[in-house]
Amino acid sequence: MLSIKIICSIVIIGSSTILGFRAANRYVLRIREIRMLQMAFAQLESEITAYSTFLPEAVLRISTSVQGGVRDLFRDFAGRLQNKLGDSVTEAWQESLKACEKSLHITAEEIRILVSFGGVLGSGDKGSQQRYFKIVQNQLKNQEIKAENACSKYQNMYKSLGLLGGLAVAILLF
Amino acid sequence: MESLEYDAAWKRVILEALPENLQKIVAAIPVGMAAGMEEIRIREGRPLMIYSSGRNYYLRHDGTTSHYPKEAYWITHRDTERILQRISNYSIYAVEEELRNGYITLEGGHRVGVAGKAVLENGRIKTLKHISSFNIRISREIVGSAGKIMRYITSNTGVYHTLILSSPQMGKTTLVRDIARQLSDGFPGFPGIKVGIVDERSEIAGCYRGVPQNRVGLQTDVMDACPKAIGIMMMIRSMSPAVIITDEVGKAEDVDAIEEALNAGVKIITTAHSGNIDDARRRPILSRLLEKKIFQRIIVLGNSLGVGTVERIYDGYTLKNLLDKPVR
Repeated sequence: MLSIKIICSIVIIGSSTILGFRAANRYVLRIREIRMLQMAFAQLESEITAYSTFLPEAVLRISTSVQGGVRDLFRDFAGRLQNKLGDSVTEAWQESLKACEKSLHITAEEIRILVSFGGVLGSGDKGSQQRYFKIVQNQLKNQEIKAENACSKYQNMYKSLGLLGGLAVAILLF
Repeated sequence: MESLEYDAAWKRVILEALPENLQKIVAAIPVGMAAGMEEIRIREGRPLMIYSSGRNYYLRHDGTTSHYPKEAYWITHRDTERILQRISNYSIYAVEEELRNGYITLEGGHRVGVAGKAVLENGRIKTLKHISSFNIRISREIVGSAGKIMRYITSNTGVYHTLILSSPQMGKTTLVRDIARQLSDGFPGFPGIKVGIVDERSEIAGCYRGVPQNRVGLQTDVMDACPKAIGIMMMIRSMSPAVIITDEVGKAEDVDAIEEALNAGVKIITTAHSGNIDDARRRPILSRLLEKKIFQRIIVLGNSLGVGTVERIYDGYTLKNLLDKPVR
């Protein structure tokens, strides 16, 4: 009986610790994705302003230099543009965001920034595109700072909370 | 069979340029009507129209034609916005230059003319905004259309300097394109020669990303979207053509460039907007060219036997008509 109790306690503590780490990891992934988006937009900006590459090609090219959820997002977006699904950039971008939201770790705030950026992407001359890129980069920079603060605040908390929570439950059940 | 394939090709490109609701309408246009279709006219707040076999028609929601605007599909702001996105491949910034010139060339050489509000900067057009009118012109190259006139513009020793005069939509560009192809590929009794096309308005070769979409010949180089005067000089310097072909001379600097080509021993074949020789004489730039007797052959197009009829071919020096009767 005692051995079963011990095993159960270990399982509880183990899984709650994993949960805690996963919750903490979201903060790290969020920062990583924001930085990746900044890099992707910088690359997209130079494709647009320096080389006048058509948007579908430019997006596809960028999708090969990013990873994870951001890669899925850019790949999906490039596919929609190339197959001329969706009648406008705005629509295609929104659909892609919707489709890839689950594999991304950024928050609703960042999604809102991305949605509004999709409303102007590709829609003006190079000068105006450059201005919009500057705006979105600034917004993402702010989000990066916010995400870093949140990470340093909550990362350790979630990790300890997972372990300690598991311990507490195990003690209660013992 | 070939024409069926060609039909499918233009349909795909044109349909891709349209938003889904208009795609359905245009795809449903009856086959006979679609076969003769030259233009699709899209104007915001006004009915959807096509120009087919020389007549205008309104298009209903189901793709059938009508003579009454009330029955037609009326274009919305949403439609025009979407067309612009699609024809620019979702990249307005990449077609700034084309917009400034008033048209965008699609794959296959089809052209979409645009009209809207011009934005000026220092007296020059910076770009167009509020684009509300589109004219989708279906380019139909007629391979072999120059067959009957080739012997008039070539001799044993080479090609004559040739000017083609015609009113708009009489098949000037179609003819000059086929002349380029025949000179370049050669035909019985004439070995092919090097041809340079200076295609200021992307109409002759219909280049899409620099590659000619129309059959302009195996030995033909194209300087796309390049001002004629500069393009002619660039061609002479770098591509050693035997003949340079351009469209629509009209500016004083074009005449200078043509003279430069003559000095370099390069033959020139070009076109101008003008119904006949007398008309051309009244226009300052053309009259200068005619007075100097630069052109050895002057071809006048009309429609006495249908669009693209060659009405007269003059000897440029004697102004004698070399044709017994119009040919098409």
